[in-house]
Amino acid sequence: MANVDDKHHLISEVDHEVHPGPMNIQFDSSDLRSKRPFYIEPTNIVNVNDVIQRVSDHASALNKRIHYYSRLSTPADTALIAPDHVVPAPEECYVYSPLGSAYKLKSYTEGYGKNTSLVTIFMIWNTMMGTSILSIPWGIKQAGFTTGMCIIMLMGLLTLYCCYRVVKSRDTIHSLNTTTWEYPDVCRYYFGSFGQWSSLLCSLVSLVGAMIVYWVLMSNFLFNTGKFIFNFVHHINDTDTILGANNSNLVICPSPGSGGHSDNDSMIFYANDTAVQQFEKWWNRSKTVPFYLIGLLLPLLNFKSPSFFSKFNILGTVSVLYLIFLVTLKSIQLGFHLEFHWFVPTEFFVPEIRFHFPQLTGVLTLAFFIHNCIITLLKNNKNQENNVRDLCIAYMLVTLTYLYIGVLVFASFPSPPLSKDCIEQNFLDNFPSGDILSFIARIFLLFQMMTVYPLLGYLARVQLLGHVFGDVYPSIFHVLIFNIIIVGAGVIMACFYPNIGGIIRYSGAACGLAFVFIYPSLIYMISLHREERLTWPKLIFHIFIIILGLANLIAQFFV
Amino acid sequence: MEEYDSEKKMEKENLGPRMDPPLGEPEGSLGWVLPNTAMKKKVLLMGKSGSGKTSMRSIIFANYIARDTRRLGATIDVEHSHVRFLGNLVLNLWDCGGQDIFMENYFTNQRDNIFQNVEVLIYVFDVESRELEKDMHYYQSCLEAILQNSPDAKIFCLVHKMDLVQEDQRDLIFKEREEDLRRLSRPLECSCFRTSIWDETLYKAWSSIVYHLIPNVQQLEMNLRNFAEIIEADEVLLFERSTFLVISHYQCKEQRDAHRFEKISNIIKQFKLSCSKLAASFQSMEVRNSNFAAFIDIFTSNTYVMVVMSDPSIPSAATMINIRNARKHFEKLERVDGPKQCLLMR
Repeated sequence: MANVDDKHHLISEVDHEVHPGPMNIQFDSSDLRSKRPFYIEPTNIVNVNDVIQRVSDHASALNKRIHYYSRLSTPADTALIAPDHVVPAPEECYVYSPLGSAYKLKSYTEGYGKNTSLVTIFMIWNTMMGTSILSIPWGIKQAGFTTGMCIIMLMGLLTLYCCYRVVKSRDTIHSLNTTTWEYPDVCRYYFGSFGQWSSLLCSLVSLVGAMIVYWVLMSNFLFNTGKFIFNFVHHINDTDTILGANNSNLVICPSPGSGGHSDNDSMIFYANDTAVQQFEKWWNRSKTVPFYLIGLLLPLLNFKSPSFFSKFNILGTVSVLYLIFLVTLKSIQLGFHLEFHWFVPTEFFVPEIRFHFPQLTGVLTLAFFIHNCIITLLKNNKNQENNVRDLCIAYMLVTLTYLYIGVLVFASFPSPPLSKDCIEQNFLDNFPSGDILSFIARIFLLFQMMTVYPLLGYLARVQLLGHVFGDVYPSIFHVLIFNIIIVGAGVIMACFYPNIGGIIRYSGAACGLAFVFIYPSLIYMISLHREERLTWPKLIFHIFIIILGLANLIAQFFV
Repeated sequence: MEEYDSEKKMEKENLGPRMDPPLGEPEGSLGWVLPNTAMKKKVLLMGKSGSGKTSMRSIIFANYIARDTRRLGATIDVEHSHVRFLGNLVLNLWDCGGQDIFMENYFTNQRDNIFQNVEVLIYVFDVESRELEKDMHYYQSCLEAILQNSPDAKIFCLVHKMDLVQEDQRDLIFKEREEDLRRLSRPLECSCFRTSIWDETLYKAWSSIVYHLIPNVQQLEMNLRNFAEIIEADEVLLFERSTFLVISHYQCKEQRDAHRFEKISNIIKQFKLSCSKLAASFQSMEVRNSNFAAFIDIFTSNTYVMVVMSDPSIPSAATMINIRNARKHFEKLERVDGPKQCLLMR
């Protein structure tokens, strides 16, 4: 005790006092809570525009308090150790790729992860794989077969290089401790608040675009499922395979002669059957089904924490594997139908090189997108020195998967009776609604999307409301307005413009512009320039990448 | 013994407002204030065993916590602490309501001894306690003893461990308890606080208690304001010496951080702990950067002062001279206010 006036007593008092533990460093506490570190969770970091991050007063006071209390007792004494409800829980960490999976990642408190290379590679592949698979065959069709294959491989390499730049971007910052940083933090460091806001904007564009695509697809799948069940119950042999091949109703062309999409199958004529007509009226792909989904999904969006939904992550993997199986089976049944015409379209085939190829690059930008959370995914790798190698292997596997599905669907599309131009933006649409295998695929994808949708909504909400209002859940009112806007956008698109290929390529090119093309290259060039290591070849190469990104975006509007 | 009687007489005469110093009292009537052997006034910290008193004392007074906080029995002997708290107050810690019959007898026999000369009674209730009736019963018996032995004592009730209650229910539960306690305490008046060691409520409650115990606090604040304006300080704080509880403060503009008092208190107490390990004692501190300069120094015999200047061009020596001069003035202020009324007495 520091008793100022009894100075002459002080020494003897010190002798009498038993000074316990804090001086005795051999003491070890069996209670792990005493070793638990206290850190300021990001929600308490209130001001990110200043150079120094300010922490909320409340969190700072708690930090000081815990610090002080720890000096008052021995490590074995549990009386002054912060209980669980006081120390902030570790932050929930979600990784997501807009059109792939979204799930909660377990964060390792020791600072390094325990995943083997195989697990890391699988996680990267799993996160990237998702509904973008459905549009790849259409993309190949738009670009031409040979061009399409080349573009897939080249885009894979390009996005891989940019991803490599993202992973290495933290190493260029030497003055600060960047171990907890993700890519938006690096952007903020280099570009200030402009970097922060633009990365937020791009992230939101990708998330909202993905959610709109999900809504369109969910309406589609729900419609087809309902139709299948109705037809099955009423034993109606689906006659919309008028345009199918001979006896096999394996593939249909929903809208002959154009890539457009007929919404309500009004070309099918049935006998005067009031039940069927009623069903047609109340179960319409673009007029009614999108609205039924609102009742199902809008409540789910209002949850404060979506950790429940992240448990269903396995559905995504199962859906992709099933799609691969489905495509393999169908292509065995249908056989290959390929003819090579280089520049001139024929009745059944498309030319190998087409001017619509930017549509494919737009789709692929979102298909290969993982730059927002690759740092977090690689953090859990046990052997950090293998990060680059594992990343390359993962990208290679993703490219192979896309090539496999795209090429098989395109090649096995029965061209003599049907034109390759019939390949739909969602290739499952090419199968009749009575086909049981694709029915199963639609069910899987429907459930998977219904579990990922609230997660994406949560991530969009956290990012937008967190930065604009400073609070991730300001009030049920704000959250409800936000959700209604997003759902409304989805419903409107499902009613009037249900072309998922179009939505994917626009949002992909827009959000990819910042995260994939511009920022990695720019940051690399700036860091080299600061170290005086910028050479002309590197400068030209990276400027070329930036130009490619810009061209990608501009071309979407013209082709 | 005569001094003791005259002390008692003075007690009865001066039941009026404690603000005015009695007229005609010779300055510094040190006659009936004995040196260290004088009967010290007590601060009783009471409550059921396990309600958190020892932790509270350890945190407020920056003592190392006693090793056996998980005692199986109640505190048999009173825990004296030789901390000088607000002048001549001694802190006594008692467990109330042990299960042991022996303990109860001892308590009853020693009652007069325990409850005499009490300046402040701080009673701690554990909000999670399942035996509300029993708690109230013991509280009432303490109050009876106070009424008999030290009727002028101030009563404070702390509803402790509030962090274990869900956030949305805290106000409700506290209001209920407060009403019950107010009702039970009549004719005595008690002030209630809700506290938890895991947020700022404990510090604020004890600061309020200290604030209530200082009779001339308004006068102090006025003088502090004059002092601050003269030396052009942004903020001036007056801390109690052993606990670093804020007695009064003056700020010339809105400060951003509402938790700053507790934070400064914790930082300095932590520093004091480190100093004491080296058999040194904390005396003063100066913190300076390009935006501000802060000075923490001994002020009067029972207080520390902290001066925050936002004009870094004013040299430290100037501020320290100012503090030194003000020190003399404030010491005089304490002495003038009469030995009985003012607790900040030497």
